[in-house]
Amino acid sequence: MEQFNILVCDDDKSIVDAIGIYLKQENYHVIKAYNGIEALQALEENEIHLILLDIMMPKLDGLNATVKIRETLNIPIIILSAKSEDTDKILGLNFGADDYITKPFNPLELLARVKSQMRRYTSLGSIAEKSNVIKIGDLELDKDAKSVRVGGESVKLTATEYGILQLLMENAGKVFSIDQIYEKVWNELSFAPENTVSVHIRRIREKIEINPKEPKYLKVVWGIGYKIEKI
Amino acid sequence: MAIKSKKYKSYQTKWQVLVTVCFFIGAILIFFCGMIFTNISKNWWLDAVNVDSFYDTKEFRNYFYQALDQVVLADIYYKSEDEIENGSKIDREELIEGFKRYYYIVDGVITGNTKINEDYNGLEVHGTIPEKMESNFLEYKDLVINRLPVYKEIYIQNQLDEYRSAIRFLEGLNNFCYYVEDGKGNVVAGNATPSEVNHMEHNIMLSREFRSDNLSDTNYYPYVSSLLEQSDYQIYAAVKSPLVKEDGFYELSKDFYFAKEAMPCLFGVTIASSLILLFCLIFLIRVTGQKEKGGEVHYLAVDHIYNEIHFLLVALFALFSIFADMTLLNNVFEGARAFWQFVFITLLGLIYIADVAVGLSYILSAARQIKDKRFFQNTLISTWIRKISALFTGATFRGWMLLIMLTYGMINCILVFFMCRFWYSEWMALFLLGLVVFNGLCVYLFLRSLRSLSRIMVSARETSEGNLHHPLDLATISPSFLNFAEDIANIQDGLKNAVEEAVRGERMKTDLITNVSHDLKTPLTSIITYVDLLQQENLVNETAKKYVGVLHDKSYRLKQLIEDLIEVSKVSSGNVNVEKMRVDYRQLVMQALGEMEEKIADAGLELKISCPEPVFIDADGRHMWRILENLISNAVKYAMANSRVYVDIFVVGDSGILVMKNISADPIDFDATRLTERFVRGDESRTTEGSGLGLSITRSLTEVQGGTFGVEMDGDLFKAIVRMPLWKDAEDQNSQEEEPENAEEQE
Repeated sequence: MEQFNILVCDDDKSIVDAIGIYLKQENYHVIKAYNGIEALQALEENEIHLILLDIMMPKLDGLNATVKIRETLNIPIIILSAKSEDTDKILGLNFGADDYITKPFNPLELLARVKSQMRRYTSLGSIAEKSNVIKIGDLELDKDAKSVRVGGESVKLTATEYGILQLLMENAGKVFSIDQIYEKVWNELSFAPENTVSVHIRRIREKIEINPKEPKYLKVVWGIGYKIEKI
Repeated sequence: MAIKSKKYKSYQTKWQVLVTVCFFIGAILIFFCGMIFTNISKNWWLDAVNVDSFYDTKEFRNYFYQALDQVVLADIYYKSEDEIENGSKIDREELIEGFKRYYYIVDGVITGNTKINEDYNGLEVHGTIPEKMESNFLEYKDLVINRLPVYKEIYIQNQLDEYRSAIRFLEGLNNFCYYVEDGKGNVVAGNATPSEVNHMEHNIMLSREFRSDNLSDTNYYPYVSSLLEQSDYQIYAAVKSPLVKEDGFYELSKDFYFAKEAMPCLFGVTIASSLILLFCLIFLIRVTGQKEKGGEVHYLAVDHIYNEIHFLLVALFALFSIFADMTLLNNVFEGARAFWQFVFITLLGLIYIADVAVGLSYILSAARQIKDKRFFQNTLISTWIRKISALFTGATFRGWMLLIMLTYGMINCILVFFMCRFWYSEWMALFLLGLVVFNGLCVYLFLRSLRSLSRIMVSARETSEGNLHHPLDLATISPSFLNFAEDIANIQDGLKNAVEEAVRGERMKTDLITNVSHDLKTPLTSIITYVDLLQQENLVNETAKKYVGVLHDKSYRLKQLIEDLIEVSKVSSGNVNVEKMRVDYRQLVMQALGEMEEKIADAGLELKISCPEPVFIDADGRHMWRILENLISNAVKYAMANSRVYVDIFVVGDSGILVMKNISADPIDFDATRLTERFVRGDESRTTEGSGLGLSITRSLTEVQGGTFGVEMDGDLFKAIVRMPLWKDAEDQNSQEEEPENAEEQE
């Protein structure tokens, strides 16, 4: 198996080292850099498949480095920052990053996100589209097999959970209220569905999301309903 | 230095009082000198100063003439008591006039037709008395017969008295020597021989045709006596020199010499007092109103009177007091009684002191204002000039407008007047043209200033709407509105500065939060990752494994605390975005319960939702979720195990209310309202999980969305109350049952 090169760039050496350890365990080759300039140099010297980039760094910050990298390369860039504001995230993604992880992060979540990005980057367009498969990001729902896969790995869902997910994925971007979901999935009129739907939603999220607290696909529109994000 | 100046200051106040007292003492001294002077020299006037000898005074001559009068009366007119007694000195006219006056007899038919006889005891009738006046005539006749002789006796007696008093007067004059010669050169009367009299220095000779005067005074006036001129007698009179004691002349001379001796003393005192007065005045002018040389001038109430008015008041007072003085002095000189003289002089003195005080006050007031260079500013004229000039310089808008309008009207009137005046001549066209041109010009100028005004108004409107980047170009504003425009421009500048300041402050606050969070999170990242790595190492030591487990838990807890802390500082400083939308309260609660289901179940709690009708509130869903998350976490942490938690949603007025009730596991023995303050927790020992920020964040978040949050305690029953405004859009109210298709995206 081909070994992928991952560039880890942060001005805090201990964080770079720790991330390096995790990535090595997953059999990635790690190249380290401690500021934006070093990152750009490393990019010139090596063939890099993915970059983990801090924002607040000396000499050249992560956002400007992203812009510079995007001038020539299309590789996945994951920003790793202590800035947790929505505006910071939006800014980073708009500058050309593919994902945004806030510090302090859960190492497992980091790894999952790295894997997800690698998968998309290396196997882009390689899978043949099936007619009855709904694919949103890494999330695949096969209506024929009644199965759901995330990043190629199959996920076990109950029938109700599958029904809810199918409803939402078929109407990606549309918001469904609890009552609507109940009526359509249970095929009953909702009188007092209590919190059944929301509990199911949470469980689905735990199964398909890398970080259920910051869901990528199945999102809560508070006070209105739920939706699957269109990606 | 400080002590010295203080000393100097206190001295000055003391000195000022002392000098003022001196000033008044000087003034009073002058008054007394004046009074004494007038009193002792009232007979002498200036003679007491510029006449050396008593014989040269006017008073001496007056007294001498008085003596001569007596001589003429006694020795030339009456001559002796016999002549008076036999009636030869009776003046018939005088006697009868006196008689008639005494008995109220009026001249008329009766007196015209009768004549009183030579013996003054009967009537001679030489006409006819009308019958109807018979009784009157009889009465008159009776008066003449019975009363007239008596009246004649009284008349003679009076003449005798006059003669005797003259003789007595002359006998009392030891210094007066005289003799009287008849036409033939015989001495008929006198108290001295001709040779004695003629040898004396101060003598006088009087006769009908000739008179010689050897009195040495400068203001000579001749002695006149009709009695002497009707006779052929000659009088020779003289006064002894030196004077002998005990007579009128001697007493007079004593007065004179006393006055003369007192004069230098009085003048000395007066001059000295005047000098003191002058020096005091100069000193007071020098120090008045100031604590030190060139220092700030302190004003008194009197200084605020306009100076001309002040002067007029002082002058009026002076005039009044002069008038009063004159009246009082007249009374004093006209020989009022001693008591009244005393009263009058006291009054005079009081008026004089008042005069001095008013004068001094005015002079010092003027001095203070001149020192401060505002004497002319503080005049009515100057005030008016300033007010009027303000009209011309546009300093006051109203005045300026008034002036422009008056000028406009005036010029039009003049033009129209001249046009009418030259109606039939070629000049009329000229004035008509002038009228048209002038009015056109005025309309143009008027429109121009209106444009300026509208520009200012636009600028003010922009400013009030928050657009500060619309500066007012002062160069294009007409002078009438220039002041106004400058004010607006100043307001704009001030507002701009304030806004910039606020923006900068806001940015600094945000930067602080961001930087602190970054600086805290970076090391925490390392801790979390390395603890995790440590856990992956195959630790043989069980204790070490346990310790790493604790580290793992606590590092995540630290992460939570930091996130809470950042959130609370963000929310309480208002640094959060609020995107309000129509939120279904019940759905929101159910979503939240779904998210928290596991935790609730772990705590053994049961949640009961009561929501009889759909409630839609105007709120930001994400913030509402944080609020509910906090409240549920709170209940999970502090509610009694295996108890029920009730969530009631209902509408009161125009707010949607959520009440969450649970039974507290521990007794709450402190003020529950403090729970919403930062870092206050139900357990003072702070052993339980939680930062003490949850309810504080909840409160801030509700407030930021325009709602309120409160906490109530009833025994162990804990109630959290969230009150949010209801969704109010009319359209949405109608389509309440429809699903919001295009809800805003959530990040």
